[in-house]
Amino acid sequence: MKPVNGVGIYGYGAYVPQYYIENEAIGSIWGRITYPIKNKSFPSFDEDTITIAYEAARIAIESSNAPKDRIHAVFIGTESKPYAVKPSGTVLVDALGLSNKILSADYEFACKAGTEAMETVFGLVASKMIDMGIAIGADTAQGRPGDELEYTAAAGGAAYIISRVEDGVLAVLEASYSYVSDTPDFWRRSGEKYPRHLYRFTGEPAYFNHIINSVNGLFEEYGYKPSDFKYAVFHQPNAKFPQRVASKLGFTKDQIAPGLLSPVIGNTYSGSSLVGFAATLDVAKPGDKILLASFGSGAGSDAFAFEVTELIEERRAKPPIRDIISRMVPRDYATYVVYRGKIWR
Amino acid sequence: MTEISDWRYRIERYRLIGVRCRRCGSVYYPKRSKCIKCGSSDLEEVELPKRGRVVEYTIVRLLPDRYNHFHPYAVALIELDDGTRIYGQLTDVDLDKIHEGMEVEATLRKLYEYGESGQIVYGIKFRPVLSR
Amino acid sequence: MEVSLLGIPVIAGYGVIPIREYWDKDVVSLAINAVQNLVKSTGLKDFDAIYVGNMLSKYYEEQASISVHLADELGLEDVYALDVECGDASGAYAVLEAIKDVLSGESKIVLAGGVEKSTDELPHRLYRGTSLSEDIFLVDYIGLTNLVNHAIALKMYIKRYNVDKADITYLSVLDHENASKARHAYFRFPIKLDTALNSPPVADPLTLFDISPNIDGAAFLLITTDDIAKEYNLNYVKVLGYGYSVNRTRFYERFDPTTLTAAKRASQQAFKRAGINTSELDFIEIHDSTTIAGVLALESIGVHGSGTAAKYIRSGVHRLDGELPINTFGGLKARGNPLGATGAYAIAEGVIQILGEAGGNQVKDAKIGLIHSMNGFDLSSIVFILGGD
Repeated sequence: MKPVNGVGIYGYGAYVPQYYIENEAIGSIWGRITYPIKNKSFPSFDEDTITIAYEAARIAIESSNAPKDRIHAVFIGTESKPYAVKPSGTVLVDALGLSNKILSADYEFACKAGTEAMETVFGLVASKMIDMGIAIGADTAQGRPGDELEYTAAAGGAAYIISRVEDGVLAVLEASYSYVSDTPDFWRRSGEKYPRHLYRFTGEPAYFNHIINSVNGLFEEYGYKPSDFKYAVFHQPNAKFPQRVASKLGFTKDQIAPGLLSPVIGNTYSGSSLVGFAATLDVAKPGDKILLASFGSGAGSDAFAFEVTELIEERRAKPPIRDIISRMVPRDYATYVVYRGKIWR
Repeated sequence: MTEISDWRYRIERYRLIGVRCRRCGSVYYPKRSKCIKCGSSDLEEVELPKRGRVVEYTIVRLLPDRYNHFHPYAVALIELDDGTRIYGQLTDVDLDKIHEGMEVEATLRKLYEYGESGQIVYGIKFRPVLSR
Repeated sequence: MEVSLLGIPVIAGYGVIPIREYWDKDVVSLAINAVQNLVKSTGLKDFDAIYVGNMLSKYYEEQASISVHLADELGLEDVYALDVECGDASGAYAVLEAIKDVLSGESKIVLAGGVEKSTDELPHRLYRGTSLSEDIFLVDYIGLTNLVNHAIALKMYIKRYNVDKADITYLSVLDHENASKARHAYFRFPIKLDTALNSPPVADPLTLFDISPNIDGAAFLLITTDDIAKEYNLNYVKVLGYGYSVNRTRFYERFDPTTLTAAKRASQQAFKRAGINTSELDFIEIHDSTTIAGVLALESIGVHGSGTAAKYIRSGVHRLDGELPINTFGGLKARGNPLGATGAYAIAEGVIQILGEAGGNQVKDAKIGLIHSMNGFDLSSIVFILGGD
């Protein structure tokens, strides 16, 4: 997909809560000795997807000095909406002081809800229906106690302010490609507290198949090859999958290194590829091309090609996500379980 | 307070909106209708700075209704960057690591909810500044 | 001293009940019990007006208009019945309403006091209830409780005047010593300073023994003129003076947070009306809802200079047998703090002292006493100066 009018990223921000729990601490309760990652983040008792989305958006707006009165859309992609009915975005409209003349809705497509939100905002901005919009991917993922995914279900989010190129962007959207099929590898029925999944089925037929198809689709339609890109960021449900898909697609370890955060923060679900993208933008230089490929169970993948501009230096997120990660502190399983509401007073 | 008064005060609560006396410049949070320093009623809304320092603090251990779901929390007398003093609840900090002079910044957090099926009330708490 | 058209305002009777948990009584029955004691001792039961101080029955048992129900139970008909709410100064303000009523000539014999019933409540509702005189915006959105102001004032005071916290907490030791002899007190045992200092923190650095128990109680006074009291052969105590004031409600907006400005202004008014000064006082009842509140009250009413009251308390000059006894029945800390009734208890204790009926708590030659009652952390303060005939 290529917009008629040039659009890109005006500003960005990412946030993770300050608490993490070591995989070992979870494993010691459930009797497991090998782990998919090292640590995963979890939200404090007073955090949720809305507060995380707020932080990411606040950092994006303040770091880029975005004109709040020209933002006319705020879409949040998440699978842990605090309300089943009441959009998370409305709180951000009033909490961030955005104009009430604004579009807002919550998006759901498992872990690619955030990039779905981005595609919509690109479209609205490119069509000149609105000047600027914010797309956010954020989650406080629910990990079923004792389940495999409890080791990686984490909390975090990233926000992207999108505008037309003539407003000055730090990265231009060159093209995007989305690939979706009915592949239920992981799902959550209405009213259920925790999702369910089909274990190894989430690999080849789901994660790998859809990402490979969206990225190859993007490459074929617009003539890209892996070496065109300085960096690549993939959805990161654990440490292995993004490294394996990168290698399958022909990307090197160096290309994915800055954006690979899952080993230390876990899988932030709708935030996953977007937080990785923010970490990559934190180090990118003008002229760098970046591939962003999300994956959402159900299933689908959105692939984007961006080129970074000279505006990256002045618009970089402050503080950068790795600084935010460096202030994280560990807690034990009991604290984690109480804060996550798995037991209630 | 009910859900509706929570809604009524949401902007002040989300963005630290107080009032400033147009005559003498004194700033107040929460809002008031008359300047207690010079007596003027000419007050305009103003968004307070989001960063400041802890002047004094205490730890509330007898937990009142609405704030009794978790553990003791710290309430601090905070002096914001413009000199305005307010009370704020602290978060993201170990209670034994709080100290006078600590630099803090405002962030949006869940304050309480009206039960599991009721509304969630958000507001500002203060946390140690994220690294810059 | 205010002189009415008909005479001098006096307190000619009192009725108190022991302060404790009353599992068998609700707020109106507690009030009735105290009033029955007053009726029994004075023989008077036809009141022209009743003022009932109460802080939280609308929040706790959701009983409004206690005064009309009390009037109904007492069989009163054309009576002026009014509830008075002023936080934990309600009982004292109710008494002032009665005094003004008698001074104006509108009423001749007035019943005034306070009642509070807290002990049915669960802890988290108690801790919210006692905070309700604060700005509800702060209570709801910051998690402010009534103890926060006391705790922060304590820290500021200690730093500013380089005071040892142990000297401040010592007030609770003094209080307990006096309460151990008092029949209507809640904590009727002495304590050691060490125990107090090592008790669990409640709002750091305040510990459990720095704060007063909010427990059930009711206390009522009979207010009338000296002429009428003589007519009925009642012993009485004169209201020599009174004063009242308010302070900035937001602690952090106060010019001097470690001075109880309302208490200061109220006591200055009271001394002026009475035409006396602090050196003429024989005893003082101060509102020590916390130990720091008591210490600051002593300074604010002019007994000691800023930063010095704690060491005087520690020195013993304020013991029952000392130069200037304070909290002669244990104060709020040990006698108890039944919120809306507290102020009425303090006034009743002043009356008991001056009438010479204090038994083991008697201050020798108690002729003139000062009573201080306060709403929250000096949201408002009221002061009475009572004198013997």
